[in-house]
Amino acid sequence: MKGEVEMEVSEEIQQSLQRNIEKVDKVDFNLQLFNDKLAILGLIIILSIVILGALAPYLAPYDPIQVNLTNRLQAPNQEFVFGTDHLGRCLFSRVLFGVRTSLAIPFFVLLASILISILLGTMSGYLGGKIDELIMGVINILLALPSLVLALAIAGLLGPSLLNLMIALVATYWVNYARIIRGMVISIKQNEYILAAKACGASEIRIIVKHILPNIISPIIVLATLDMGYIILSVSSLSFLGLGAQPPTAEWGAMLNAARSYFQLAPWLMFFPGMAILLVVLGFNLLGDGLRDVFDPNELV
Amino acid sequence: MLKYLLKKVIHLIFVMLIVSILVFISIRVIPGDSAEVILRTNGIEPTVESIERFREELGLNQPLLVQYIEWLTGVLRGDFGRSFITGRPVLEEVWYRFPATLELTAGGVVVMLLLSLPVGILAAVFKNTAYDHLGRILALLGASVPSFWLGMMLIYWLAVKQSFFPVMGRGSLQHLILPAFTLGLGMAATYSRLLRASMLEVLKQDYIRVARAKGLQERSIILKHALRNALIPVITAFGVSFGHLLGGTVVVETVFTWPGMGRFVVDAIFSRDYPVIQAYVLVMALVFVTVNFLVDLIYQFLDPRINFERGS
Repeated sequence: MKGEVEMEVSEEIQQSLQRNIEKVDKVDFNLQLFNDKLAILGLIIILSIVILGALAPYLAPYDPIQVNLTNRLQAPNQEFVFGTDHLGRCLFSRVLFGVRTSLAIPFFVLLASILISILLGTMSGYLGGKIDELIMGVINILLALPSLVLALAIAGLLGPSLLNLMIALVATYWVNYARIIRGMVISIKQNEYILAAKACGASEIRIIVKHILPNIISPIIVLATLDMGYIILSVSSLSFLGLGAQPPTAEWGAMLNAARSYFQLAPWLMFFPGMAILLVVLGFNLLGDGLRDVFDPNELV
Repeated sequence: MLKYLLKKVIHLIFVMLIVSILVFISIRVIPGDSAEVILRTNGIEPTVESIERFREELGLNQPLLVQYIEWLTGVLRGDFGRSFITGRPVLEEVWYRFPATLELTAGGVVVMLLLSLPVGILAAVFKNTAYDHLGRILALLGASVPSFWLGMMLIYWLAVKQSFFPVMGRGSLQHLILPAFTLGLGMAATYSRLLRASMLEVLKQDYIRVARAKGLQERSIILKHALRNALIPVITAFGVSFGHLLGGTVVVETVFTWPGMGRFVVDAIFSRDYPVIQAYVLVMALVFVTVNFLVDLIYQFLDPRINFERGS
């Protein structure tokens, strides 16, 4: 049984994980990261968008859900910089308020996935045995489906709503992190300081919380940053299909879904929300690409 | 080798069996009484009698295990039940749309290869030059574009404003180009980066130095000696990415009103046509697991260093 477990986490992966874990401690990655102009650009994009979203109530000229049919489908003009949608709502205000939903949902999906995967991945890696087999079994089954198909199926069965969309995505994404965390825990577990802690009579919980978790957190946060762009795209894709945010909520994917019937007539309805998604995802990808360079010496530019 | 294959096939069957159980149970755990929900969405007043009759029709009154075995034997014989909406056999409906989805996915793969191979190889060969940086920026952009938006923009600019391409539907190669591009672009971005990294790794190897020392042409070193090995990790990743492409077809089919399974299942979700959703998930799982199985085989074939007996 033990042999099989070790075989699954190939030595190569263990070593590279170990390298990464050590790197987080040693490398002053701020320094390296800030040498990468594109990564800085990414960070600036993300921060500006977050600030815009936070200040939306003060910056938005109109109420994002206030219907005004007399202003319907106006092209961008002085009064409505991004134009208005099919219900006469100010598109600029909607895109601005959309920052909140479109960023908060992926953020919570990521947070919940990480919390669940830390719990299950640590249990699986640290305790081993039957629990490990069970958790890995579940993971392998979930991996038998493409992630978007799985999320689509779950969201579809639960019915279209933002909460169900989040449940579906968390149910899909924890798997990846849990697998990685399990591998890290197995590799950390073999360190001598863990043995020393055990010899000193430290409880299992204490070993996990004090000695194992701190080693896991930083690489996982980096991984999460790398994935944030992808998750934003998944959320907006499912919203675009009509499975996420429901009207009148201002969410970029849902706005594009609504724009679909009008986009030949009113292309601005599709242009601005899409640009917003592109920009924020690009921000996270730029930052993530920079982070990856810091962590993987092979890819240093 | 045979033992290894057998082990893999048994694993594959086991996974599909569990997936089938999950798919079967999923309908039973949806919030609310499924019979009532289904009747309501079909515009039938859920009275006590109609619910009872419907439950009997679906065999919902029998023990769960009996229901499952009956359902599974049906599925194995190709009987997924009838669509709640069209009333036609689900398999027929899905099978009818399967080629369209397959065509789109294949198109996506072709676009991915056409874009990522040259960009990835050149970026590695001309490392740290302007070309490399341009490749990086293009890859980052490509990975950041939401496919549904890209699709709509392409339709607007290239099909509506300029009529280079048809606006929607399936048929000629002309119909395929825009959807395939939309589907393949994101993946091409990822792959060009992957290929670049893998290529750089290979170019550092001794045998490349030997090839150079022998005075072989750089062109043949890159394309014949380096590329073959650089592709190995890329092919391994292909199994997983194929899943992304399959998932992506749902969105792309919706944008381009492509008559495939993806669009069909989205419609099914909104009309709560559960047998269709079940069939879709099972077919997707089967395709995905099989492709990964094949990728595994190709991978071992390409890299003789991997031992069939020991590889897990």
